[in-house]
Amino acid sequence: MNNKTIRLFLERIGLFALRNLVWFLFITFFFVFSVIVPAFFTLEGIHFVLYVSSCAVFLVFGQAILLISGNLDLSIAQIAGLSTILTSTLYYRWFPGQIPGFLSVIIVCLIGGLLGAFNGFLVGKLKLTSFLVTLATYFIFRWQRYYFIERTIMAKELPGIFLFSGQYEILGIKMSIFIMIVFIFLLFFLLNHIRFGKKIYAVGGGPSAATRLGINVGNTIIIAFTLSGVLAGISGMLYAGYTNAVSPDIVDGYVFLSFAGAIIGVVSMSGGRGTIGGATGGTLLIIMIDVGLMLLDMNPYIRLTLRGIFILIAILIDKSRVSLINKILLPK
Amino acid sequence: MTSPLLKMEKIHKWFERVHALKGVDLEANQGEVVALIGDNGAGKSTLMHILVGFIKPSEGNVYIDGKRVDIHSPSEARELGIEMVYQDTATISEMSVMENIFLDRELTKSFGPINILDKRKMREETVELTKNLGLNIGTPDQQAKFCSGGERQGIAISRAMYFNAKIVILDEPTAALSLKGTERVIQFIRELKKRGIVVVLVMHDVNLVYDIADRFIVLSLGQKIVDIEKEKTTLEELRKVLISS
Repeated sequence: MNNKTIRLFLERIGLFALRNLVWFLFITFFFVFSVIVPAFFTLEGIHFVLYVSSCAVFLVFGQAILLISGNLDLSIAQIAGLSTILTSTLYYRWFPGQIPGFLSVIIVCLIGGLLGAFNGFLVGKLKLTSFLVTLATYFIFRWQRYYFIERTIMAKELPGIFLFSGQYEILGIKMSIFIMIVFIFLLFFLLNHIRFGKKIYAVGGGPSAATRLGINVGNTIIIAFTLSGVLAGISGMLYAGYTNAVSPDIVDGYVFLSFAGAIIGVVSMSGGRGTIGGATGGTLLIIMIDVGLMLLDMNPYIRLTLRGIFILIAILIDKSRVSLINKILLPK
Repeated sequence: MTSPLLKMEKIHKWFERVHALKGVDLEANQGEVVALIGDNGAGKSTLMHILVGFIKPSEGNVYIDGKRVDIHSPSEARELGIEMVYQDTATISEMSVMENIFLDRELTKSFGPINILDKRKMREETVELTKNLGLNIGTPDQQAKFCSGGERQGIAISRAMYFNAKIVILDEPTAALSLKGTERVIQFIRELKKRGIVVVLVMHDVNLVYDIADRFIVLSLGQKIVDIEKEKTTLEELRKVLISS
């Protein structure tokens, strides 16, 4: 092997490691926790991390798609909560016993999609900034939850199928984990193998160039927000199954997690860059660290502080990661 | 006599009280390189933005191949074979050369009811296309951010060529380019001309386009003040017109 071959080989390894950094971190932390937390390295422990991640990952996917499109959604967790609450209210208060239970799965997605589309319309068509729009809708959607229900709706008041996906098991594995795997493939396919996915990257990577190339930027943004809303609705439904009830504050406060998972999974805040694989890795990493620290009986406030520190570290690592990748890829 | 490939007739544009274009005519025949020259605010970009469907004319008609057309959006313009290559936003940096060439018109293969991107075919076509244009970009997967200014223009021109554009508008193609980059863009323009494509060069400096253009149209304050073939004028005369306008 001559010097050039060795250099090319090392560059390929370097690129692979840098592009999959989140998974290397995941493996590292997995071993660290397996050594220091006795209950961690068990089938139950791993299953629990995957189970919690499967509910959260849909929020991260929704946020990641918007970040790739050059936008963000501060109201994403409120969309998840409000769509779950509205669906539940339909069944237990407004039309008890009148709507077939299986429709609840479609209704929650529809409401999530509509709430997302509302944000999307304001951002895509009226050209308002996504930060300000979703900051406003954060408050609107948040307080609407408490308007619709004053108490926790118990499982027996809801259609069984609504809680099914977040609760039931197949061969001892929670169904939501299978749903997560299906959606990883679906969204990967959407972003990488069909035209619409490329439009999302183009709109995020260069909105003016995309407009000049004939892409309808406004419509692309509306569809991205709608899709993100549907994913938030699914997340809310899975959390309802996870908690076996729908409380007024369901999924409240999870917006931070949606950003954390996406950013740690190296989805760019400036748009045009990021992958579904990375977002999945980011979610698994942050949930695993959370579960590990919880098993270590760490004070919850310290745990949340650590989350913030991890994000800062992730941003710093990402900055050097991108410049290292650029250095390798720069034509010599 | 055959009709010109491109004809813009008595184009007017008002932006509220500002009369930006005052009945401008423009014609171009197959394989002709037309330099649209004028100072900032002369109306060059407005005229071209009308042609690519970014803005609507207040009055006037556009004809392609003798047929009157109404162009409402850049995608409609592209369907009619009109492509515009912008100096600053010719490509999307984070996307690969291949993705940039085929953006929004990706080649697909059917998989049941779904159309899946045919990445293999697009890669092959990119290699072929860039080779024919003498564009040395490494691999089709190279991100556009690693390409020089001239190469980026080349990517945008490849896009126009692949999709059989009839008219290519280059907006200040040599601004912010090195001498080498400028030379490369001039080669691209020659290639387009050889293929019978109408090239409209939107420039404010006549020196840069004098060698390559076949005809010069000078705009000043929204009016066409000169429309002359190269054989009938000199660089010096054109300079004088521009200075006096």
